[in-house]
Amino acid sequence: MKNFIKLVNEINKTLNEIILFETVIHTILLFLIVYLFLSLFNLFPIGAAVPAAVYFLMAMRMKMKKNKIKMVENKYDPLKEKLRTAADNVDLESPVVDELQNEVIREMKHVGIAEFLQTKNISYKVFAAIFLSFIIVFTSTFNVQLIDLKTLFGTLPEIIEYLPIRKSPNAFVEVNTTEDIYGDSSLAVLGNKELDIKIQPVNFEISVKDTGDIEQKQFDEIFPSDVDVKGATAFEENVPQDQQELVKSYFKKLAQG
Amino acid sequence: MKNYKHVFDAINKEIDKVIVGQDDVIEQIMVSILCDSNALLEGYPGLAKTLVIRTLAELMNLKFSRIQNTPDLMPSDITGTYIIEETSGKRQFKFQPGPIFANIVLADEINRATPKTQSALLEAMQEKQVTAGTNTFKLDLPFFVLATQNPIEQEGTYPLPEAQADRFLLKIKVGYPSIEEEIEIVNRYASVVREQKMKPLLNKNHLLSLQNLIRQFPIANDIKQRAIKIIVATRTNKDVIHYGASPRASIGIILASKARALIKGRNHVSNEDINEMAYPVLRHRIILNFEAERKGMTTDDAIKHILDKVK
Repeated sequence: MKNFIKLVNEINKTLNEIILFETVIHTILLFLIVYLFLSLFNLFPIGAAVPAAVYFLMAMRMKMKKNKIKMVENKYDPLKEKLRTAADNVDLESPVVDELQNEVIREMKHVGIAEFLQTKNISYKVFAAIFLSFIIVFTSTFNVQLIDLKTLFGTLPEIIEYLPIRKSPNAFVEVNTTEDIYGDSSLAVLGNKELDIKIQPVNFEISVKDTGDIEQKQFDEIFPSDVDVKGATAFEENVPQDQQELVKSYFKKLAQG
Repeated sequence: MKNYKHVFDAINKEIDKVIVGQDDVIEQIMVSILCDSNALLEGYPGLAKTLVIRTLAELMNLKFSRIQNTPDLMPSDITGTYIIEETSGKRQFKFQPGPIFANIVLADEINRATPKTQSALLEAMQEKQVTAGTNTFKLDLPFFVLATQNPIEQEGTYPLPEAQADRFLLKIKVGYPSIEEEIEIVNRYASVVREQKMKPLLNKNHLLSLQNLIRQFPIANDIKQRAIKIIVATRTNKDVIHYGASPRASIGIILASKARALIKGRNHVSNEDINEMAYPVLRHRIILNFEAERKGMTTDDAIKHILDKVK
């Protein structure tokens, strides 16, 4: 009886390990597929971890509940009904049960782990995971995007703005062509005059695809001719001469001490 | 269990010397004997019912007796009665045992006996004892009653009430042999009849230990649950069944399946055993409703309907 209990425990342990292994592979595949999808639409690709985690938890919960004894019976026909009968009556003391348990132990020697691990199937899944990983590296390197959903729907939900949405590689040199570039118009005042400054928008997009020799560019010095210097209004104080002299002598005496 | 299978194979081989075909009937009678229960055989006359029982009794080295039921048969004709015996000038009552005092009793055409006589027989079946006057006599074990019923000629008969029929573990249908089997029967019995000598293959003690072993047979929980669901379905399936089987049928189907497993040389009960034994266990325990009868359904059809439903 002890041997049979050991056998049942071993069946449960081995099949649980196989289930865990298969579920991990499926989870990785799901993560990579969702990651690639989100990358192509310029959405938050790390968000792929959420469906993957949900799938992992649900799949493990469902598969762990499965009757392992029946799984073995389904794989090896001569054990059909025998294994579960022996397992259900493990506490029953009877010569018939003892005989059945011994028979099951003998039969179980013909059942290998390979029966439960579909090596061909698993190989395909591993290759698919490797292939998907390469695709993701490729799309990231060459910045392949089908639709930039983030920009497309950028104005829609404010919540997206608060999410740590992935910045595109050229985001730090993003060109703003709106009037906001000049900031607060009250700051663009020198003295009493409003400055009329225009900054030429320049496209600094960098693409690793563009390779070649360094282009020598000619820079022109642009300086407006109508600019002149005027005294500040602060110096245009109208103080009488005698009072000026009085103040000067006061400070001189003060300095002499 | 393989050794037991050899024994039952040997019994079948010996029976084949006398009986042609009827393998299912023989198997079901053996199931009934192994379950320490009784069986009701239904079949037309001339189908070797008596011969099967007599042969089985011989092979198991059991005492066999036959009661031919008629409307004027009295309970004491079955159980036995007190007779006055005179020994050394002294007269005293002495109990004269009836044909019920055997190991295998064939009660032929049980529906011809009056309900009073049927009850006497049924008491013996159930309690394994006989009450005569103020005394109760225990019957010799193993004790097994095989009653037969003729499905035709219902006039002047007293059909067993459902409650009485429920006491039989199995209702075995004895069918006609196939053409090949009938040719073999003719060849065997229409020429020079050679008396076949049977060698006993089991004895009372073997049989009692086998009856004990049957109850130790393991059955998987899901198979047991399915068997119970089948019985419960006979009560809930009102579209064809008017009256379903009692919990006695649940015990019966499990026990009969265990016995069948032993005969088949298995050490566990299989779903196949449940499916096979559902028919003889249930066919006398369910009553079809009017709609089912109007459609020409038989109880076997209703049982098949339930077996298909309860997977």
